[in-house]
Amino acid sequence: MGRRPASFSRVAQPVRTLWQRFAFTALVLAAFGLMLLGKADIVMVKRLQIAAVDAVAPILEALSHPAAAVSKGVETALTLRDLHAENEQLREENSRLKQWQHVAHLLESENKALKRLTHHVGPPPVSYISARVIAEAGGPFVRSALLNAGRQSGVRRGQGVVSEDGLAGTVVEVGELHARMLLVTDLNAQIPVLIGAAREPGILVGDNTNHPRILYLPQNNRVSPGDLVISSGHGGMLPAGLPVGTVSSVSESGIRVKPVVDWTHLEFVRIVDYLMQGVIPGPMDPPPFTVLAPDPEPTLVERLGVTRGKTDR
Amino acid sequence: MKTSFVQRMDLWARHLMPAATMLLLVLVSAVPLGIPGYAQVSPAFTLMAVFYWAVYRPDLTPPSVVFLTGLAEDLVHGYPLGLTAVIFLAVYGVATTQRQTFLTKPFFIAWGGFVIISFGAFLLDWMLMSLFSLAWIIPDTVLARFGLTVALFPAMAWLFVRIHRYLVR
Repeated sequence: MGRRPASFSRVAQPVRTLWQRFAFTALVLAAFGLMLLGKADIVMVKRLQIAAVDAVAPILEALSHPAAAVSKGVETALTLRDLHAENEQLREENSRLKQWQHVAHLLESENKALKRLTHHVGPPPVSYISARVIAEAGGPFVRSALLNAGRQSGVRRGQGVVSEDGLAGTVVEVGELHARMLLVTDLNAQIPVLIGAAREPGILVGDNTNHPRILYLPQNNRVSPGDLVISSGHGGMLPAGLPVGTVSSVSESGIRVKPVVDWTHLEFVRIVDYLMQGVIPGPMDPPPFTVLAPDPEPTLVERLGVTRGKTDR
Repeated sequence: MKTSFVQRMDLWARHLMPAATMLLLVLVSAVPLGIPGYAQVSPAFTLMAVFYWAVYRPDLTPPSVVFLTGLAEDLVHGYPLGLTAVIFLAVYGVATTQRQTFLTKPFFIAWGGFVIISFGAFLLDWMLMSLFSLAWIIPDTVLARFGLTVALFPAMAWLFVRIHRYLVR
């Protein structure tokens, strides 16, 4: 009996020295291997990833509360300073908005009457899931944020995320307790939109700068700076008419859009539960007997959806 | 003389501190602060920790811990899995081989070393990410992040020295 530990260590020793010598190389190779697996969208890797983030989501949520409290405190101190001027400004704005409200009511009743006349079939109803932003991805490469609502709250992949200003991003990853939203400015974000009063269809494509571009516009379009950019609803994932941004510049190199969302105050958001399922397969249910995930980029499919929308007309 | 159970637990906890600081910084660096533009240029706190512990206590931070820290960073920030692990391991590898040049020298030598090594790390990060997403990523925010990371290194190093001196020993 006394010999066993000794013989075990005799066997384990060479393995141990081998590991110590090659651990570094092995780990570097493993990291590269993981990158390749991730690029190939293996479902297993995706699942592990989501489960791991689910596990740390409660910690992140706990950490996000004090941070929010501090930034709120600083903000209150700053707003106290110019409270009076702001009050004046708001009063003025309020009187102007009251006129607009009157106009909106008129138009709404007229719109309703016209829709009834033409037997217009409206879009399916929309409901919202409220969530808190618990982590922002740091670094220059990704523009995403973690939300504290997941599958348990009814969040699904591809759903839009709106702040009080307008569309902030779309859900790209859903765990039991968390979801990751891709901001509209991210390199991989592509949103079908309509631009201006002429409702020119295009795709809003992020490039990690603060001003995403508009691509795939029709020829001879009439887009000018200041035009409102709204979601088109093509592809069936987002309801039509969500404000996305305003055109900030039109030049040879392309059209740039300033998003409506105030990124610095992205604390609470609403996930748009649009009852039209769209063309994206449900999260994490790949067709049987495949190792590959369902199409990971909703954007490609959404682009298809736009062309379909055009031909249907 | 045999050490008691409590003493061993104490030592064990102390030796876990470097790994714990690295993992804690992964979480802290993801907390939304509400500062305009902060998320894009937030300094790479975890990278500083990896460098510091690789130079001063590589015995307590084996490559496996660095690898796991990198994976944790990838998961929390939604980077491609393994990307930051590669970066951290590269920094760890260079820092451990060059640690003799930093150890007995004044602090600004180590700071200079960090500037060079972290520049290489950000360059590698940017190249790998551009390759991974098959797109030209405009490197202005990368440079801003590098500048901020380098500028904040002394402050973080001060904190690490405190942890090193009083908690790890």
